[in-house]
Amino acid sequence: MNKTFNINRFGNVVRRDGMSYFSNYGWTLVVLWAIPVILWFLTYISMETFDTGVISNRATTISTLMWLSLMIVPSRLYKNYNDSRNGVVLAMTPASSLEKFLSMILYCVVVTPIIYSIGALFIDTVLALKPGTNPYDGFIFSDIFSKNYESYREMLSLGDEELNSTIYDYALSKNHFVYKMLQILGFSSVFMFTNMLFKKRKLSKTIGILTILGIIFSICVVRYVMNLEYNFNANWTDEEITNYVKGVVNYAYNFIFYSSLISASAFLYLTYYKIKKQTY
Amino acid sequence: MITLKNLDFSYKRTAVFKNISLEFKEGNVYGLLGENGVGKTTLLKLICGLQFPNAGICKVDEFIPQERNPYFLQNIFYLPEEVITENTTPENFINKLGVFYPCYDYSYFLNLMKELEVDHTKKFDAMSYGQKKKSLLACALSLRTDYLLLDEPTNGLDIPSKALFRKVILQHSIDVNNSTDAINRINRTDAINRVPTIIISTHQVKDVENLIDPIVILDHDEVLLNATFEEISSKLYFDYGSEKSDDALYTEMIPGGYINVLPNKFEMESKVNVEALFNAVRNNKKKIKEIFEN
Repeated sequence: MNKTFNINRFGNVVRRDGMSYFSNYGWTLVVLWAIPVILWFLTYISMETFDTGVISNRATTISTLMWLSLMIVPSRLYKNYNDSRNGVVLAMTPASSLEKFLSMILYCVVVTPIIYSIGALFIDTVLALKPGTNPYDGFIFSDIFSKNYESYREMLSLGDEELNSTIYDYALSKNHFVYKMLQILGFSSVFMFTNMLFKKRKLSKTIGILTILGIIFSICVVRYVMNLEYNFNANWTDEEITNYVKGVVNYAYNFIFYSSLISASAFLYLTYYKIKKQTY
Repeated sequence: MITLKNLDFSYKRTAVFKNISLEFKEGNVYGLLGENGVGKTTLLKLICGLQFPNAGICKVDEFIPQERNPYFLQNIFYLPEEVITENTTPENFINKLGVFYPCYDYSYFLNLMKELEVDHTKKFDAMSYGQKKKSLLACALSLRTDYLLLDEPTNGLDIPSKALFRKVILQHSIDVNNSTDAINRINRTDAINRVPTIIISTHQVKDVENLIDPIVILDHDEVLLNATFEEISSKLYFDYGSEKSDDALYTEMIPGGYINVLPNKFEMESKVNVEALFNAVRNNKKKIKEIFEN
């Protein structure tokens, strides 16, 4: 008899949450999947004027929508968890707080990004396969698996082609999977927690708070970049410049790693605590 | 058994219970009565772990409700006054929930739905308030938990539904262990022989008058009464006469005369009127305590 975790009980919680997944979140997924289709159509009708169907733009769009799906999912699937009326059944379900919490993580952090990304990539592929006039050329899949990461290359563009290539290779040598997973976990945990914290307007309140924090963070980044430019010495050799920029890239990666780790640990703990101690 | 000992509870600065002690013994259908705002719903929530006491002990068997131990939760079900608004059918609702309860009995659920005259395949959204309440009652009973807490279960029910409610609760409290389906699915040996303990919190005492025994009358800082009908009728005499009695603890005019609630000095038998009892207790808190303590 284990009151903290039992695999059968956990399976029942996962099954119960799964049974209401599409009824609670299905339409949101459909809308998020429809956006690439609408964008394709807009590109199609304006392709003579703009060159907008490049892979990096499409990948960025799908990636942005995947993050959006992560923001929405807790407030759609678990909106009643802190509701004094409808939350009673969830709180009184004979499963431990840990089992309920793990199921929440499974659907908010694992299932949703996978389902959305697979669906969106499938839609993009179908659109790219359209015979005849088509603004989409090439497949996002092939870009991902070739590790070409056009969008990433553009982002890191530093003007100088040789330096660009060195830094690009250096950045790619990092374990991106770990960084991405940590970012997803850190990001989702914020929305999981605020879903438990706020009773009404969960999403808009969270976005409002994050916007304010984002502005403060941007000011800090601007100050940091200004400081970098100040430190930059025009007499440096190429190697010195490369090392300096590598240091900045390293700093950025460390920041992403630790901020995601701290955010995930803190907000996941707080979410678990809220599930355990929520009163009705 | 449910034990509350020296329990304190407050919502922020509003004190609800101060040092109350109370016991609910197994196998009874308790009627939990009290004035508005006295904390009947809060008491039920404390018992099932939806609220946490500030001080004192609240125990259900060997479990502390606020720990929300899964083995405790599979033995208790709380049906709130306000109906759940999930947009699904009662059948889907109970199928999702039933897997967590070892004694859940699907065939019993279907029988109850039939008996309560509600379509189990109809969505909650398409049901009237009374139909929703009856569906949820069938769901709650079919889980066959040892403890069932019902908050104002007859609110919103029409007259025939109230009669059906009394019938199914009475049947449930008697033949809970007769279902072969339940016995086949049981993996707790102790559950087979346990008769459920039901606590009904209500203002509609007439709806449950013939159902509840014992009766608990609650006040903010004390339990005014916790007694069986037998104890009540041995201590109090309910006189249905044409005259008002000067010695009565409480008198109320009824069609054809008066009902007088008197101390039962001569050990006479009488039928307990719960409404009159409630008013008598409310108006004579100290005296009633003295009568029942002797």
